Amino acid sequence: MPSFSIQDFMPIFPAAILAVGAMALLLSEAFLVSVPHASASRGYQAVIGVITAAFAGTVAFHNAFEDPRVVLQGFAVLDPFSSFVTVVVAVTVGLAVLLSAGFLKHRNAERGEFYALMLFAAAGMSLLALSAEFITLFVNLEVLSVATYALTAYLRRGTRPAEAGFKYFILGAFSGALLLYGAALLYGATGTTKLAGMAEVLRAASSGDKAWLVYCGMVLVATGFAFKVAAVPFHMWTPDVYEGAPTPVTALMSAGVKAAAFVALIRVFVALAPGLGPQVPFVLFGGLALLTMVAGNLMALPQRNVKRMLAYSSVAHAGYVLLGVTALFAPAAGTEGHGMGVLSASPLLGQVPASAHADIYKAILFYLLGYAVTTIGSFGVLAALERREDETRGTTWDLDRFAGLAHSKPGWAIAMAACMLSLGGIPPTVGFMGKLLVFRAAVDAGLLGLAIVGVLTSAAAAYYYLRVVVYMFMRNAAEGAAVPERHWQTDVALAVATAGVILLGILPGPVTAWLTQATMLALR
Amino acid sequence: MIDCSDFQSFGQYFSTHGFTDTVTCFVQNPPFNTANIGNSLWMIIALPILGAFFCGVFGKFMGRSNTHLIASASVFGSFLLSVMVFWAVNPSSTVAPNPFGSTLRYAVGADYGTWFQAGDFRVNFGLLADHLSASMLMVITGVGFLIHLYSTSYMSHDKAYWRYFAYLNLFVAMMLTLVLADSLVLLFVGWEGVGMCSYLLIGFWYDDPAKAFAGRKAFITNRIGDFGFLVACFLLVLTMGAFTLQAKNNNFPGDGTGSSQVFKAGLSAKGPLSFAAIDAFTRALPSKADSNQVTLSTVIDNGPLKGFAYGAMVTVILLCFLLGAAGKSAQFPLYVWLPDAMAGPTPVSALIHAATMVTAGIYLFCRLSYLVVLSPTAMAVIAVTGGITALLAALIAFAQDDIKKILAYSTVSQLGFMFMAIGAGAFWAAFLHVVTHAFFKACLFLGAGSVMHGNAEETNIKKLGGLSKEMPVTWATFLISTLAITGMVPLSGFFSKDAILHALHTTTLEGYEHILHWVWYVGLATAACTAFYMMRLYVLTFHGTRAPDAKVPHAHESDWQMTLPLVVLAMLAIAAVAHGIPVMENANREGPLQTVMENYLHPVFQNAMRSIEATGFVTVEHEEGLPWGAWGMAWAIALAGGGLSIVLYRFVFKRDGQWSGPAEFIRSLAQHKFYVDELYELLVIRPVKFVSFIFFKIVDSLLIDTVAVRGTAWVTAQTGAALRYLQSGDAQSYAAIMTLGLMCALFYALFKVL
Amino acid sequence: MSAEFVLFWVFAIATAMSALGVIVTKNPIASAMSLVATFFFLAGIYVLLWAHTVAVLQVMVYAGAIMVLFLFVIMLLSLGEDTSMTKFSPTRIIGGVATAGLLAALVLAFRKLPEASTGWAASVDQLKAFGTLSQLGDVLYKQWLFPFEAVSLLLLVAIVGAVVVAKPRI
Repeated sequence: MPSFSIQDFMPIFPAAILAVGAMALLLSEAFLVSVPHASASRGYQAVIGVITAAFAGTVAFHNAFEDPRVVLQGFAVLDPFSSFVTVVVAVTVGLAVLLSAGFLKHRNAERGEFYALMLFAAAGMSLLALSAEFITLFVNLEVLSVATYALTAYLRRGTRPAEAGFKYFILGAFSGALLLYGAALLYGATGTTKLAGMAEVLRAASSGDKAWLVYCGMVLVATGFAFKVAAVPFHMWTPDVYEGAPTPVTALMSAGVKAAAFVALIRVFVALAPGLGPQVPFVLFGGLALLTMVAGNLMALPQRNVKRMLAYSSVAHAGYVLLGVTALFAPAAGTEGHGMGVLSASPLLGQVPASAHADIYKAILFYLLGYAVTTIGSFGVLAALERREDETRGTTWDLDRFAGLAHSKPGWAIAMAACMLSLGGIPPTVGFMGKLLVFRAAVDAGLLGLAIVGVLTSAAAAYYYLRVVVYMFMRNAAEGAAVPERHWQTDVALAVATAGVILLGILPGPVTAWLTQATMLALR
Repeated sequence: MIDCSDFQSFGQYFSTHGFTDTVTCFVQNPPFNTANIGNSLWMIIALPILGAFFCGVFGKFMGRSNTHLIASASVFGSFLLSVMVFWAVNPSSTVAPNPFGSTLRYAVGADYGTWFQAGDFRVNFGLLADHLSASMLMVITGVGFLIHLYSTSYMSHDKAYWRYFAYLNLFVAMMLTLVLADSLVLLFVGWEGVGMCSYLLIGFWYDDPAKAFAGRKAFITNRIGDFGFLVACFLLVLTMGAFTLQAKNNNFPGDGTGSSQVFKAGLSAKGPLSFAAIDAFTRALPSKADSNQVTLSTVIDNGPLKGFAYGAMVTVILLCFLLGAAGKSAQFPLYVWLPDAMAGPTPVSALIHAATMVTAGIYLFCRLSYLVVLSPTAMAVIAVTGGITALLAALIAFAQDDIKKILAYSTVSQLGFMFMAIGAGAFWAAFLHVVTHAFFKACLFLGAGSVMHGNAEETNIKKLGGLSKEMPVTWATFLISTLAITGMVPLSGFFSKDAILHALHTTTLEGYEHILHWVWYVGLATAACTAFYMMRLYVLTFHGTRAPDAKVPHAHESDWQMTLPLVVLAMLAIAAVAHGIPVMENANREGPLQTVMENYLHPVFQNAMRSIEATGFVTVEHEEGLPWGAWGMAWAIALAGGGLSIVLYRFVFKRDGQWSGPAEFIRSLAQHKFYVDELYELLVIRPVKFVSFIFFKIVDSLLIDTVAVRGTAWVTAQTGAALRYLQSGDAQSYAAIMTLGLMCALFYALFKVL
Repeated sequence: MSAEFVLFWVFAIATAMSALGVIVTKNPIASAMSLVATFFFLAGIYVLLWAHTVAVLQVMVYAGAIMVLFLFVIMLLSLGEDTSMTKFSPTRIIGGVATAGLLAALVLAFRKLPEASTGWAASVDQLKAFGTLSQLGDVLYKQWLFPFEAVSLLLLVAIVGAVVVAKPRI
């Protein structure tokens, strides 16, 4: 007779809080109908959303200091990874809700459902990050996917959002089916859907008679995740969907979805890899990382449409995280497939780092945090600059919209500049620290070649990021360019994001120190 | 030693003990708890940063007086906190934590945790104030506040006042960071920060291309120095990394303060670039008791520096630091930027280019005193560099007519004196000169600013004259400062300069027995020159008759915001004499009486002195009693130089008198700064330009621009366009490509299992 | 060769053929009806696996309720025949080749499977109890509580999403 204690439910508290907040927002619409000026009295909805996110984030933060353990009979885990991602997701969704407030008000489209769906998506992300069983994992992935499908198609002016939403839905369903099929094959090979059980079976009968089945399943599951994190060549939906979705939703997708999906991916493959022999995951993710870093940056280069450029940049950043993931599966020195022993960097103080894996986890998680803060900030400025009048002309996100921003809106220009520097990996921003940690981890794992590709591509990427900065600070605005209106919610969100970008860049110490400690604890 | 245990209040103790004892006990008993002062150190930096933020962002809207108030108040707040820190570090019960063994006495500090970390290389964010830092704090915030006050009047007609005060506040914050840093990394942040603020302020009136160019010149020259600084840091990390693996337990003192485990633990806690780490490293090196120990002559046996001796590495590191310090502190051959830096507003010249920033190089060497004394070679090079700089700058100053240029060259020359002292291992003398020089040179610059302010921005001393009656306050303070810098007896400059000369005279470096002696002669000559050109400046500006081609017929005295700082600084220039008189018992319980400054800085330099005893690289002859002979000679030299100048310029030449014959040749040589700038142009800039032109044509235009940049850009753009073609917007084709990718992955995976 | 074996192959082939029919036929009604057939045959396979309850639910919920909804939508929108399906484009060829390759790889993988790969022999009593409602409830509410609750969240989100997307212009 299984019994659950309150300890079992601790990890899902943040998600539950988010879901309850979402339901409260849904109900708020029902009560608003009787209010005469309903549209004018919706200001509190964003506040409810932010408070819910803050509450959930606080609880997740509290969870982060719990001892790592398996809960709910092996269906979920409470560990620093899931808690950390939940905190990131809570921060992301809180800022995205703030951004939406001004954005929607400007379009007279503020509704409780929108915020509710955002919170539901966040709940899905949080649950995805802690799932330790394939069916749970799939269901939670669908929770966040369905919510984002609906959010993408939320604004229906012109064909763009509807088309984006539908495209995302069709391709998402396709990739979801692939993931589910892969999971079914793995179940067929191991007789269980729990990751821990699978790992046990695979270790016991490694390279046994079901290896074909296992490898097929693994590739299919990897494909499903690669779609979610937008890795080349499974990224094709990204620019269209990111461009078509309301900009705050794009921010949520590129920050939160990616972070949660990466943690789920790592959880699945770290559990399965020991039974597989590391070469296949290594080559699989190495190839994905290489393609993603190169193609993502190359495609972003010619973009004049800043929103599409940021979409491709999001693809490219997935590549850098994948570089970290690859480092997790890098063959140890001396084994087959290593072959870079001579070129691998000599540690600065003469000792080989004892905790290479902890360093890699730390790098990945820090990168995800940094990218989330940065991307919220950059899409936030983009959202603030959008005007409905431009939508029909198709110049909403053109680079020219940024010309002279430093004069008309210096605060926004500084926020955008900080975010662009961060995305380009230029100090003193969090993007630089993130890249430094990831590249360092990759070099320590012996992935010198991939790390060099990473450095080169991020150097090339500086071109298109800095171009935005040049437009903002060195070009004059076109004659008669309208000044966008501002909302305090947007300003607060941008201030928080910019402060995060710079503070985490200058003083990453507390976060990295905590991550080191927590990952060491979890890996023990 | 004085027993302060029954000290209750000033008056009560004074009635039973003497005045000196009472004062001593008063400063050793701060009326507040000193334990937690370290945790508040960050506020000293945060205040001016806040001020800079408010002035920079809101200054335009707040109006002039509010901006003045915020800028001055933030620095004054820092000053008050600095006083507290200065007081707190006096009792010996004040200690700062030190992960390398026993705690640091006479210091407060705080560690704010990991700043950044890459693998095993870790840098902690920490602040530390000991006697050296605390004295610098007083100078920076004290003089800084006076100059802010002065600026409120001086910049009263400038439209961009808010920009000015934001920069000035930021500079103060950066300089405070520099002196409070407990690691070379944070020090470098301040180092770069003051460089940046200096660049911004030199080019403050950037509308004038010459001024903008001067800013750039300062910036680029400093970059050369910074390169040296960074190389030194990298080498230091590598050397210490090698030492960590090679060191044995018997390298460390046996009194329980260190072992190789403690050292490694300390390194991983604070990082190899913290001063505590360098201190522990240098304490472990020179012990020679046991032949198994790692000493300066031991060869490094691991890492990239394998094959070099530790001593050689220390020398190389110090020479790289010297390059960095020469850039920041305007030493030969990198001094050329400082005279041009006079393009900035005059208060800036007083604060940055006389009192504080340019002394950063001296501060760095004082901070690293324990490292400096490990290499007599480096010390000799430092002393010789200082000597060359001092004499060269003094000679150039002879023939300059611009009041600020003369003061600039005089600053370069005085900084040369300080480097000489460092080279002789007399760190306290160097620092004493830093302090006294800060007072009288800031006063001189501000006086010059006052003169310019009252004379329609006239800077040519030949077009001034006779100001003593029209600007009485400026005149009186300028006279006091001039006498101080020339080295007249009752003033501070005499004692600080004499301390340096005395140290040069009595010190011998192992392996370089006569170098310091020659530098001593150079120093004496420079002292005479200093007296000469300073009196020339003073006489031509303030005495005689007013020049017929003056811009305004009558000068006017400046208002109180400008004269008050002058008076305070002039008084300080007199009062600082208290630091330089040898009245204190020797901290080592033997040897002659010490000056107040030497005694006060003893906790900072005691490790360096211990190393000197261990290595024997530096020997100092102690004399019994006070050095009356040396004092007399120094005074005579100053009197002779100054007197000659007065006679020549007051009675012989008058204003338009000209030199003739060979003297004219020397004068013109000096007037053209010995053609050093032209020499640079010919030897460095032209060849570099020529080579760079060739490279530009071949490498840049052809290879990089055409092939690499355009080629890469073309290929990249084409690839991007091709990839974009795939991005058709058609969901089916997206799915097709996904399937294709999936198929490839699947085939690869199955191929691996086959 | 038991009856079970024969029935399995009948159902399996029929499921696959009718599933193909869903995507091959051009008439939406015919496509929907093929889907109904797929669900029915799938239910047959469930029965063979002793999962009676699931089989019944499959028929009632999917073949019944959901398909009726599908047909309503199709008829209300009165979709005509779409002719664009016949065109050939490079991406379609790529897609076809890739799908064929994928299929080949999967077939290869399955052919490599040993004959009696599943070793979960169960007694008849166990099998009888396996698909019953009580057993199902036991499994759902005791062991699979977390995914079950997650599904409820998923359904809620799906409903809200559908309502939002279906709302008049926002």
